[in-house]
Amino acid sequence: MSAPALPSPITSPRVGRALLGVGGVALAVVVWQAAATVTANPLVLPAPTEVAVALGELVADPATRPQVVDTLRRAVVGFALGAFAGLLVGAAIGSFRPVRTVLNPYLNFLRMVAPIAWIVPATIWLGVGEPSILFVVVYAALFPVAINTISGIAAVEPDKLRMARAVGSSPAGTFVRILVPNAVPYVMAGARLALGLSFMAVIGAEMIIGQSGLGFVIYSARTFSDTATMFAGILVLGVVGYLFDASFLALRRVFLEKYYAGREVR
Amino acid sequence: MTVPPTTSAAPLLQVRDVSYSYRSSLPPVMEHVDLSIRSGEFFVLLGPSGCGKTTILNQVAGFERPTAGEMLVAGERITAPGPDRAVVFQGHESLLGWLTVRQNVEFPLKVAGVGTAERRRRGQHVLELVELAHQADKLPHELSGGMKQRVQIARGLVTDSRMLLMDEPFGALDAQTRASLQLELSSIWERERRTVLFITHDISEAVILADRVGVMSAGPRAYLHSVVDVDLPRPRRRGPELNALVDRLEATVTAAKARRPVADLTEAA
Repeated sequence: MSAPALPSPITSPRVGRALLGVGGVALAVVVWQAAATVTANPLVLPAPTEVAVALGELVADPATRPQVVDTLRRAVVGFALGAFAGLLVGAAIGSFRPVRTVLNPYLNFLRMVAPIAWIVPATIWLGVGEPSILFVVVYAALFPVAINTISGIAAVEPDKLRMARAVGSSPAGTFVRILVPNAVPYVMAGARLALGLSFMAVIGAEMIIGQSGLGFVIYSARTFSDTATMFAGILVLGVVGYLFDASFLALRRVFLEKYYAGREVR
Repeated sequence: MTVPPTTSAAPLLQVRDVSYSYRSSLPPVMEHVDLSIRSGEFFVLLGPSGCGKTTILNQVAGFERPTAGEMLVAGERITAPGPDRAVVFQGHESLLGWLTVRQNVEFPLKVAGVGTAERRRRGQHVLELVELAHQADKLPHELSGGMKQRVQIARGLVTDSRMLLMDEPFGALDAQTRASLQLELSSIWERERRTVLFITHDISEAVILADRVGVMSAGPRAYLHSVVDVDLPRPRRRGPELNALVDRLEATVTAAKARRPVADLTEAA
């Protein structure tokens, strides 16, 4: 069992994990193909081959790129605005007891309302267009960041605050030099959640009021009973979201790694 | 209680008739503690858990207020923390994990608005003092427990504070690291002559470090039982002389725990 041999490249844990990952995807495609064959109705479940063709057409179509770009722009701008607002709200609630007392009930009420539920009031206030879609995305991104910022500020070790007081730090100085850097891992965990929620919110909003974007493409495919294009749109959406999440983590590692040093919060 | 205030001969720290209880319905943790620490002195406060010795340090630091009585540093009443009293904490959580060792050590100077060059100069001096200059660019989590405490000591010494308050700084360390840090602290203190209030429940640690040892009785209603002079040359290594003093102090601690006067040593011998 445990012969003292060097691990071969195939059985080394890293290669093994990679193979397992690829195998998992391959298995899903096989199961999908089998299910499509059994169903034998492309309206209900198109086969991977059909979706691959539709995906090829979608990617090759010059009209697709602006759709993807529109969705990405809305998701990223909404995420940035919402995350920044969440940071401010969270920092205010986390730092000042009176603010906490006043805002906490609102926070806990509003965060339980699905962002998409605001799409109709948003169109009444802001019109059918970009501002309403952005409103929904901002709403989706705000709460996870706000709540994690509050947790991050509350999680500071008391000795850090005592040390700051002992060296004569002002409350504002302590906020900037200790509370904020200490909360970085929490804020970033919230921001990563918020990024995912922004991608979800933008699709919902585009489906309902969008004139462009991947949500619009997926929803329009319904009119032509084009299930394969719906699936292709979903695949594009998933892949783009996945890449954005991976980029987010990569940027975090490059710019913020020192705030994670020696900490269990990831 | 007839000590005249603020003359040049006045002690640096005066604890006057201090009592403390967590709630008025509870008996005080400690009561009527009177204590004076001279400028440049290494004073160790020794006592069992729950006697309020850490509370006294927290009150001197200004983190907490006595229920009754007052504390004065250089004749001024302590009402809040201040950079004249540097604190070395028991755990290493007061270190800022995202800053390097050097940045941690320079932190009090940065808060005080000291310029970069001066900060670097004084930081380097104390880093050399605690023999951490070669680790200056590491992050705290890359250091051993003993090194982390040395970072804290350096941070405590980097300003011109009047006092260094140390709350069982070696309490969480293994015996060997502890012993070497005790000697190291002793030699640093000989060079810097900063006034130190050091809290411990370790009797030999008290003898190795202190000019004088204040012995607390057990709580609740703990009181300062006695103050013992330690008149041994430094560096103090274990030997017959030191052991004799440890034995004597142990007898005092036992008496303090039982809240009775010190037993006659000739009788015990």
